[in-house]
Amino acid sequence: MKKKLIQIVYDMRTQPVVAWVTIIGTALSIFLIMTVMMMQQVKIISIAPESHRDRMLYGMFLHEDGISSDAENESSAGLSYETAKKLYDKLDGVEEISYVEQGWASLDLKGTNNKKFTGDVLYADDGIWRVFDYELLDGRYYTPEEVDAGTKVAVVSRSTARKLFDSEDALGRRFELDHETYEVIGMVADVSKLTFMAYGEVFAPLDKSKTYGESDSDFGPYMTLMRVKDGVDLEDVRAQVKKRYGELDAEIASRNMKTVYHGAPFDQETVAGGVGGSNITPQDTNGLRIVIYLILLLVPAINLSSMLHSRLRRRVSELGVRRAFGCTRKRIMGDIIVENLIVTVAGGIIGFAVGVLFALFYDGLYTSPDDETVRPALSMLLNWRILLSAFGACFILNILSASVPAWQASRLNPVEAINAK
Amino acid sequence: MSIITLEGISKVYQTKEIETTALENINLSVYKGEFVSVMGQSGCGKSTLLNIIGLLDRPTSGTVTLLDQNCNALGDTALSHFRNRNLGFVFQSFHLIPSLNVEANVELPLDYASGISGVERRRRVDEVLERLGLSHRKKHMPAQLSGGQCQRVAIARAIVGRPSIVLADEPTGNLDSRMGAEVMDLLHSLNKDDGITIVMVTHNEAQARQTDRIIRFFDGRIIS
Ligand SMILES: Nc1ncnc2c1ncn2[C@@H]1O[C@H](COP(=O)(O)OP(=O)(O)OP(=O)(O)O)[C@@H](O)[C@H]1O
Ligand SMILES: [Mg+2]
Repeated sequence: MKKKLIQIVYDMRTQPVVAWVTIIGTALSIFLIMTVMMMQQVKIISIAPESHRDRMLYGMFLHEDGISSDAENESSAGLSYETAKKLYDKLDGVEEISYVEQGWASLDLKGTNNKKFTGDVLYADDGIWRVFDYELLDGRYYTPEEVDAGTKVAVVSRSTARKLFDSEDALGRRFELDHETYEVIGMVADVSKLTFMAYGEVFAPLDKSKTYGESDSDFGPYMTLMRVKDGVDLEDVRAQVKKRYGELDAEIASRNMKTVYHGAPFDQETVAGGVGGSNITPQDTNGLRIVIYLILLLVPAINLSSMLHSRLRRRVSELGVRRAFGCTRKRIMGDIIVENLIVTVAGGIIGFAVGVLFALFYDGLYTSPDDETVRPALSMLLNWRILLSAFGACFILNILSASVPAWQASRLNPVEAINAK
Repeated sequence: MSIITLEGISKVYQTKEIETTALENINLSVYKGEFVSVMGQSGCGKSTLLNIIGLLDRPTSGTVTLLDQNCNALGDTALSHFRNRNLGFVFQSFHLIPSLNVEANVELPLDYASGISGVERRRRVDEVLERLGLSHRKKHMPAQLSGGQCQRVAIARAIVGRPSIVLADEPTGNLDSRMGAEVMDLLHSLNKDDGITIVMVTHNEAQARQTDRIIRFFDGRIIS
């Protein structure tokens, strides 16, 4: 290992241009890849309060169609509270469930200082406090009884408390939410818009009675957030939901309607890929993403490969001597690949650091579902999955760029190599 | 007892236009503990012969037997291990690795040997450097050494793995006569004191006469 470092330092001194181009090239490509990957990963990796995104399922939409194909009464939208319950209540393997109004609402708030501003309000039942890990700074969460009674109480984020009352001492104070008076019973730490399911500046009890159209309509503004027990296969839950779709079919057949199943409930990766509006069928973008990553790596790999080739050309005679003294072909390959990996990782660390700084200080890379730019927190970016994928990218870049030159080097005829100059 | 046995060795270099016969039907035995020199005019196949004995190149036909092992039968990896254990090389232009210091250069064969601990390696390297009077140059880079010193480092590298055979292709070819004599003394001492079998290519008649036997080459054939 030490000798490999010595070799690298020596190479950098004797061929500084090639060495620096290699490192900067690696840094650039890792930077690019990390930027793309971080933008995507931030929506998937577990970040408090969405601390178990890998175990989350979301019951978001319903799609109904007429049984006879000529019917024009096809509709798809969110769920009424009743439908949400029919499809998602008490599923085996689900440990916590919350019913919420889909998406946060930007509503008028007015506090004691009489300043009016809009805040993002999440209407949710009490399950939300168990599904996600909010950090309660003061007071308490609202209870199921308060939700059922429609009590006008609210939990606010710390910065909202400051905006409302010019103070974090918010408990028991009143404010106006959408022209109704609410009392603050709890204060939580601010939630990033990147944890877009848990996000809100004000949390208020859910009014369960809203529907779209008739009061007995299957459609409404609601969705469910479910956390599955550790170790339970998400597919098992999905299978139960699919069965309940069947039961719903039987119910609505009398109205000449049937459901169209789109793989509900969705998991984190699916909602991260963007579902909503008319796009209620999740798209499998994984394959495409992998292809993009590979292209992002392949292009610099070809360049790095020729850099390595030229660094090795100076060492042909040395390689021959090593072979003479008993170095096997495999060892030649292995040593070159490891040496190159060190260089790649060094470049990767630089690229990763630049990528993180870029993400932290350049606006516009990260957007919330309402298309606002959001800056991620450092702790989100230094997640082990992101670090691991950065290392993985370095590794793949290394293999892509080093394997051909290393293989060629290992195939050199020792005699010709020794006498090469 | 024969330690190197060549039977019917031929080597033909096939290039696009011409076919060069570098060695033609060579039969040769070198005995354990012998110091043999190989002489002949330029291009007669001396280096080719040494490369074949050194298992760096394969003959077009014939068999190479070293230490009772038929080396024709060995694959590339086995040949590498065999070279590592049993052979040492000294080249005309030293071929030290420029990025490594003296110590690391000498240690090279041990990097590829199995079952030698770090402590043992360090000890062997120190021992060899001490013996060749290079201890104070341990941390020097090859570029900071004179030709004679380089060749001594190269000899240290050749013997650190305790091989039974050392192959030297014009080891004094790039040295002035004083340094050349020093290197020759060193090779003789390895041969006498350690019993290492040495095959050396040389153009120097006087040096050759100091060895046990001279093999004279002409046009790919042994003439005496
Ligand atoms: N790789 C090769 N391809 C083609 N011909 C070669 C090759 N290597 C050597 N030869 C030829 O084989 C013959 C023997 O070469 P060799 O290097 O063994 O000579 P030598 O006796 O060592 O000469 P010198 O004293 O100059 O070192 C020469 O004619 C040379 O041109
Ligand atoms: Mg020669």
